[in-house]
Amino acid sequence: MSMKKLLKGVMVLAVCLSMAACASGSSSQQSSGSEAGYFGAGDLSSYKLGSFGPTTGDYKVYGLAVTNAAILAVEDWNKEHGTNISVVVEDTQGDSAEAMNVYNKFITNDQVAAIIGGTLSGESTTVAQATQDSVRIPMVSPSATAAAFTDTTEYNVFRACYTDPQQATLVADFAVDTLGAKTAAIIYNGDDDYSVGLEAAFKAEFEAKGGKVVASEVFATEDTDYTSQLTKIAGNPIDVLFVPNYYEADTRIASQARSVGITAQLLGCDGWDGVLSVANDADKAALEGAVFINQYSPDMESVQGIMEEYKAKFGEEINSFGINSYDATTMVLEAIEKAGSLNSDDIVKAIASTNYTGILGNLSFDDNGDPIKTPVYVTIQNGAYVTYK
Amino acid sequence: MSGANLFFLQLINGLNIGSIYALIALGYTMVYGIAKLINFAHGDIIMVGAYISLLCLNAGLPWYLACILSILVCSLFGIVMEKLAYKPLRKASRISLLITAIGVSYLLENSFQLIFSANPKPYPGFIDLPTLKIGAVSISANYYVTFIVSVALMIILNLFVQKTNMGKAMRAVSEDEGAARLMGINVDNTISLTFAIGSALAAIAGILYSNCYSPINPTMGSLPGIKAFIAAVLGGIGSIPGAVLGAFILGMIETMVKAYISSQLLDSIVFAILILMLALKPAGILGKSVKEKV
Repeated sequence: MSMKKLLKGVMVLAVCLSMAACASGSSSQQSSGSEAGYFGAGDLSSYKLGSFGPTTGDYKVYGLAVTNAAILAVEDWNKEHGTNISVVVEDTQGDSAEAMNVYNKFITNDQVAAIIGGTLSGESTTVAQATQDSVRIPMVSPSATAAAFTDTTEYNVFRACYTDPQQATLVADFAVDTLGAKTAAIIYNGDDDYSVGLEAAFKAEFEAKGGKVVASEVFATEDTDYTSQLTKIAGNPIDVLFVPNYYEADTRIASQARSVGITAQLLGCDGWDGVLSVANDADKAALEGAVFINQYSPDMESVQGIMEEYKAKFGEEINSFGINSYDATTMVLEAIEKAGSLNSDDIVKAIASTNYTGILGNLSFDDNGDPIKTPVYVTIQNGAYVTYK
Repeated sequence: MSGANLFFLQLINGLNIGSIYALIALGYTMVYGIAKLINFAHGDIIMVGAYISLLCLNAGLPWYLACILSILVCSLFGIVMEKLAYKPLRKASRISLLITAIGVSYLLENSFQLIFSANPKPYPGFIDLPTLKIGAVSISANYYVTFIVSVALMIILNLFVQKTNMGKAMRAVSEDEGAARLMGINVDNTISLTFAIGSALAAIAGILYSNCYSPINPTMGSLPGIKAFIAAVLGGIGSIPGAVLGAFILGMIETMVKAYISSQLLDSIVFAILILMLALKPAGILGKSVKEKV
């Protein structure tokens, strides 16, 4: 980063912090309670939640899923409880500086009780750091997977999705405990933090459990031909091939792995979600039987209702970001009801001790704000996603 | 698997990548040889060819019709591109043409993103031939078809340029546009034909590339385009057999570097070879260094 940019960033941050400090002052004055701290405006039957993400631009698929699902969750809650809670949605275009503006608007103008978001790891981490002053507003991201997001001094930042290392560790456990795998190979994108992080965590866990990673091959983002690396892997007999990338590369890798004669079980993480949308018939045959960890599986009975509801309201298929956001939002609504107050510290306490059961099963949080929840393994059967049993 | 078998497999992988590069490099070298223009949009015509054949296949047309339509549309497209973007600049400096070509490349990529979205699309591969078995090693149909097509096209193209009247006209325009015009050669038509053939080659490359590397997306052509450009320079840009030779050498280097050195160093090594080549033998392996008369 250039010096100029850095300086600009520091100035923006300083302005934001001072504004945030003012905001917390004014809201505590408005609240009738004697407790200090930040209070959401309104009462328990009509308050506001804030949700943000890139609802325009390159990442709008993710931002729209998170914010739309939050709206849906609040509407469903209102219908059931006769309340009048609302969601304020703001667009960040995925930009961290814009996310800071949104955050300041949330706590000064809207005085939201809690934040559902952000959508991307970068914007979420920036806002999470800004909440570390007296505001300590409860913040739950359904989709920020970078470990740094919940690395805060105050305990008010939570996420409802697995972190990257958590996912890979679970997949390694699955490989050893469920599949009985003893040898593994990995092929991953050396340019991509997501892929690199998953590779390291999988390797560590797989070897800690007594398995052996016989080959770990790397490729570059622009590559479409992986046969050279896969031919090398094919030289060793392996039980599982771990493919921790995004779905476009995963499709090609699966296909090319089969064509160079690798018959090992394919394993992946949530980057695989959507893999069938880019697979032709030959790819589907290659993907048959592959297993990846995900937030949900489309054949789960508990998600059918929300899938239909979302499609009817927004005209698009819900994705894993949306499903997770729906559960996270409902969890927050329930926690606020339990807290019986719009004070940020009270709500945070309620979220921290939550034992919520939603459409994706149980959700609670560890000391770091990361989720403890039931992992969902999805397998591909006859060209469709099916829950692994 | 034995080391020798493994090496043989890697050799075949290298030949496959080389064949794809060769198909693309043929178009590059063709246009450069005649029009003296490095058409940076060439890689994107591969993408156009891939998407048009995909549309045809999805519409239920048989594969040969999809191929023919895609080749025709790309040829027309090449002619239109030349008339609109390059012809007005024929008297301008080389660098203006080069920059225009980069502009055309971005125009194509972004308009296709608008039309088809940036999401990758699955390409229904149609090369349905048996796998070739040599001892313990099997070679998939995509591989040998791409190889045969690229070598066959190289031979046909070379014969066309060397033996036919149109080929002679092309060489004449390449040597001296003004003199060719004086001899009664229709320079505009000859250049159009060159672009049509170059784009047809790109369409074929696009179709074969998509068969090997489904799914496809609007920026799929840019990296193979650059790699093929390197191949063409390596072999001697303007030379038809040189382009193919350069492509096979590049494909082989890439595969062997990935297999035996390091995947992460790959691009550094490839570009280092390009720089070395340009420093030591700027005309390329099979290129002739022509002295310009002043």
